[in-house]
Amino acid sequence: MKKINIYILSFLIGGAVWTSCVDDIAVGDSFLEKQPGVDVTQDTVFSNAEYTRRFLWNDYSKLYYGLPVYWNSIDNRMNMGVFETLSDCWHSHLSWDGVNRHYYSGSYSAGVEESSDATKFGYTKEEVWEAVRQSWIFIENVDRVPDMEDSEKERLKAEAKVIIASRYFDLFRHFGGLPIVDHAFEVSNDANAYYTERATVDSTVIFITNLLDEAAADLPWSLSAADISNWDGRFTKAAAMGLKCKVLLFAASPLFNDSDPYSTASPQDAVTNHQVWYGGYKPELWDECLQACEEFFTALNANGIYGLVQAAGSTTSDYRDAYRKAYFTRGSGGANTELLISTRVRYTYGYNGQWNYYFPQSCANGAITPTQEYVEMFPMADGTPFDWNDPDDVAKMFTDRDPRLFETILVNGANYQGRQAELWVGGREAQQNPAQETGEFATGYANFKYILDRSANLNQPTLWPYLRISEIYLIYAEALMKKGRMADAIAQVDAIRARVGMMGLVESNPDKDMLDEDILMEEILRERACELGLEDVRFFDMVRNKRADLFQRQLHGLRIYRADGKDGSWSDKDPATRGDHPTDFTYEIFKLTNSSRTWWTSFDPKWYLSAFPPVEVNKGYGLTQNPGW
Amino acid sequence: MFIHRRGFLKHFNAGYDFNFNYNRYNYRSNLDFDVSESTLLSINLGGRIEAKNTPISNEDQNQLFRQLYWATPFGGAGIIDGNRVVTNPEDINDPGVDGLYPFYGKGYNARSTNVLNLDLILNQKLDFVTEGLSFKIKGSYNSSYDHTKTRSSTLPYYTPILTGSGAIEYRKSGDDSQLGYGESYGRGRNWYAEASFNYGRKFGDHTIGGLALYTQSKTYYPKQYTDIPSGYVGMVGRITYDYKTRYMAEFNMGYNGSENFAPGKRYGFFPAGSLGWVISEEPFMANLKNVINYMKVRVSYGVVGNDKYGDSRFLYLPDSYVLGGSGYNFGTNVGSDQPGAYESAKSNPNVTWEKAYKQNYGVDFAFLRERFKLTVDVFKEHREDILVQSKTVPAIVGASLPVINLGVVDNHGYEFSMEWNEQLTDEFRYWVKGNFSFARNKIVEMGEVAPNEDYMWQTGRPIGSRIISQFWGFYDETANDRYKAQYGQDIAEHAGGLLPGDAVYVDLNKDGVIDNDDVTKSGFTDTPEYVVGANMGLSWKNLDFSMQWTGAWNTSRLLEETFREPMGDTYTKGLLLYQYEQRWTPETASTAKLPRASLDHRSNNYKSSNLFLKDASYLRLKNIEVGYKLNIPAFDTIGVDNCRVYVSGYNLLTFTSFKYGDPESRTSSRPQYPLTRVFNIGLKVGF
Repeated sequence: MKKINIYILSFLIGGAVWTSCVDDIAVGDSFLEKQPGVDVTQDTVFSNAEYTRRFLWNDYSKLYYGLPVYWNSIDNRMNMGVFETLSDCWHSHLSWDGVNRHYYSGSYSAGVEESSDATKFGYTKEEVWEAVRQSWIFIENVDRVPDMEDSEKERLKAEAKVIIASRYFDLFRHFGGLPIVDHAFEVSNDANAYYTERATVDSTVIFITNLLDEAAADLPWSLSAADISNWDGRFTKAAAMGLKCKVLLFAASPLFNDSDPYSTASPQDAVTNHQVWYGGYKPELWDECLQACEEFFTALNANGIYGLVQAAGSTTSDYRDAYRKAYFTRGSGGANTELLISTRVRYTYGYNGQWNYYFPQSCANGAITPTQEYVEMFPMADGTPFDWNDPDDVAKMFTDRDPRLFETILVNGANYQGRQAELWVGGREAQQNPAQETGEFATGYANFKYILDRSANLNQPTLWPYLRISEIYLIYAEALMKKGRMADAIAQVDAIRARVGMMGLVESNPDKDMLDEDILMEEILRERACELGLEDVRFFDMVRNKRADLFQRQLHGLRIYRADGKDGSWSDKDPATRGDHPTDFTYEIFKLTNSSRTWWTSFDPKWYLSAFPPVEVNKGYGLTQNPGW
Repeated sequence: MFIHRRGFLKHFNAGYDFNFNYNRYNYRSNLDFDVSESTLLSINLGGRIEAKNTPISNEDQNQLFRQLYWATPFGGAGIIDGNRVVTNPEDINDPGVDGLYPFYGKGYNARSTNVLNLDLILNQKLDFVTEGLSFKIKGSYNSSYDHTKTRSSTLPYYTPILTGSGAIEYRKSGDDSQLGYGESYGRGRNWYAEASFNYGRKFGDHTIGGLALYTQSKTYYPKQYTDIPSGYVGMVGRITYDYKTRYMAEFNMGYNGSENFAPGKRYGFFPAGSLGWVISEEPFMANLKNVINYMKVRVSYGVVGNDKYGDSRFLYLPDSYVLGGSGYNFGTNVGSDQPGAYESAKSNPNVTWEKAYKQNYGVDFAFLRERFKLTVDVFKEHREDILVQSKTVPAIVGASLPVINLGVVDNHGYEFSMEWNEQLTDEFRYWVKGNFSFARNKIVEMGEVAPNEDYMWQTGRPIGSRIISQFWGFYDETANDRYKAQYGQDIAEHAGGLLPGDAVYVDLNKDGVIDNDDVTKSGFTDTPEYVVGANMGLSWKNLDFSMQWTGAWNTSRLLEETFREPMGDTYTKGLLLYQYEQRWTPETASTAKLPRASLDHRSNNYKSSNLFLKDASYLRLKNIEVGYKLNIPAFDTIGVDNCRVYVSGYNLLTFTSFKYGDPESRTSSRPQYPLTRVFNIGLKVGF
């Protein structure tokens, strides 16, 4: 027995000694020193060209992506919802998105910016400041990279500047003037080191446009044809110049540029300090916007490469293809001549239930349902306005319309997965959705943009169309109009309409005086809504033009009933007994009442801009709260 | 020892067993070798082997019980002819999901874990140097390894469809799949070594003891810097003295180093001292010795340190960057992203030990021939330099901030324990033990940014305090008059307006609007302030009986998710019975405990407020056991020393007003495996 124990003993001791020999033996202080491992510091990154580039690529990943795609506080946007559903074109029937919880219910207040990450654009949660910091670290350090050409350094710096500018603009549209962060902060115990007073609207716009001007000087006009397949998505000179037009349009619009501030609610500090307006109407702001557009088009004429994607023929399907290609496909300046800025979160997705690209589910949950008001904005196929009171228009309303309607909204009878969509009450797609006003088909329509027919969208490269040339045309039109150049303005709008085969504004509207600024302005806004649906345009158009009237209007859906004496679905029924495809319908426009908006009864101009989280205001670094919050 | 437990799920017709299942084997062997007369070598070897099965559930394991609460009674018909049948949405719109949805047919995880502990202790007496001195070294080595087999699968479900002829057909969705196979591994390894000199010797009435100890430990595969094991070193010195076991004094000091801090900030000095006086040993107490058998007064004061901030390590090292993280999908047809690099957390070279200063005052008594014992302790603790991330740095800095020594928390409390233990006859003994404790803490400093209103501060309140809306009552025609009588102003504007049956909140800042500034502390935290326990039993001849009670109060739970919102946030989840029974209706207006049943005004009616804050006090009979010793003459012949049969019950009775779950566990939106009532029948045989 004793003998066995000694064997065990020697075995165990041997084992213990062996394991401890694996490590270096160290005692005391040296035992605690961090052993060499993969230790990466700022010096590691900026002593290597490849690592330096990677730092910028990660910065790119902090750019804005407008669709809700993933369950984190940034990529889920408004908890699966989007703020375009605060406009009159779309309504959310997703009870638990931020749109319903905080905005339709009217329960939004400044404190919600702290307690929820589903507000329309959180001041602290969108990684704006992280992107700004990362860009400045990049700009401040890239010059010391040893193995990189100076020309590349300048180009990459310029890209970092566009990132800062675009992130500032993302915030600016929701908040107005912002603290100007023009360097990467050192972390300090001294609170004064961070003191950065909120800038005026004027200074904020100058900060953004200066960055874009500086960047444009160092960026190539477009990517070389050889680079597009691998590097499409990087900022170009055309992108920087185009973004400048968009920034200046927002700045020159009545929200900030008017004889009165948009809100007289307290606190008024931000109004007094000109942080939420220019302090009066300044016509020269429209000159600046116009000049930026003219510089853009001058450069475009000189350099070419970009332009509206034009249809290959003159059928509806040709026009639809051209329009789809313009917002849906990658290859800026190559396959897609129209796209100036696209942002990305991934390559493709393979099925509509994909958890890490859940936008199709967001639509299926009813987060984005088109309104009857929006559908009626789209003209007839020839460009003449749609009139609900004209039985002829109604008869052709789902067949003979602006091709962009079918690319933006799924309507009854549209081609869908190789058959025709059944959006009537009881139909195969809509089921009881329109009757009960719930779900994807709550309004009698469904979203089509980006998800298409839920089949052609799969395994296609994804993107967010941050800026397209068609928008620059329409910005240009608005600036020209503000300067009284009506004919030139109309010509820009007509170029957009011609791309989808529609007549010009004047020919299409013989009974309207297009030389009247108010009438033309309505047409430009309508054209923007139709051309740029679900591209974050309509909500801001309503905001920047202070359109309380539109925010207050009751919205509607359309209930479609079979008028052939039958009910229920058709295409999944037995072909022997189902009869002909239904073609007769009765229509009922109904008020949206599920998840109705408190704005319809009590809108206040304070809603045009968001509230800063009170904790940020209370940190005392010079941030003032927006009026009304 | 061997333990086997089975869970509560049925596996119906899934074709394999996915139920919760747990088996454990423990083993241990302790060997002592007298290597020489003054040298003792001990080898302790122990370990356990576990096998655990859990069903795979939707999303992740934490979701199983959460999603079970989402099930609706009309979500599906259950298993019919071996197939899971769910409701056709054409028959019932938005039927929600059935109770099988979260787990049925999804497969299971089988995890086996193997843990090994080895201790080697060598004790060498050094009486040849000086009497009472000894030297000891100890090394321990622990390793664990686990292996998880993931057997995922899918089962189809069937939706009934009424055909034209009136028959029911089933539409199959999804596919049968073979059980998939995946595996993952976990590992753990650490060692600990110490060397110490021990001294203890009696000189007449004086007893002196001393200890000097050095320790060093290493843990492999920590969460951060997995490739670099984490390490600790420490030195402990202790001197004890007592005189006639009447006066005692002890002084301790620890000197510890942590890898988390820079050289110069790395070591913390942690002294502690205590004094004791056994008054009952004093000559002047001799007369009372029959009544007060023992009486001791104790005082101690000491400092302890903490160097942990979550899993963060090397808090002092220069700002680190990471090669990795999100890259970007450039190009038109490139499947893989360009790789990224980014700045990780900022660091603070000055960061050092967090300290807690503890005072304790206690008395111990024994009365009535040691039948009654009483101990009372009062403590006070002051923690400072608590490691926190600054909350006052503006968001525009855009960096993830360094850890600093900032927080301060005070804590105080007391504890009583009593025991009555009496042997009445040779065959009958009974005992009652009880303890009672109270503790309350307060945040003195946490670097909080001043809130808009003073009543919103977290600072000055216990850790984990809930700052929430204050529910006043349900709205009806008379509500405004009643509110006005109470607060002198009209009911404030509630977002979305108020209809009869809606929740009305108190406008704390009297600005006429209910918003996020109208929140203040309500109720207690998840940690009870008062905890009591009682243990009692008796033995009579071969019969024995014991039971154990516990209780707690001054603790609250805030209902979340399905427990708060009827039908959940999607309107298609479960409706719990109390949500229906306690809702406001015009008839029940005076007794209603919950808002009216409506999909409107939910943001108002179901926000975090003390309406959903529930008292979680409880008193529970945790355990009861009755046993009987069998004594059969035949045992001797077969070598049985003792044999006992027993019946025990666990978790038998609970008195509480908290009916939403187990008051002893924390509520959360992710409920865990429910507390079960367990009955054991046992037979214990010793050879």
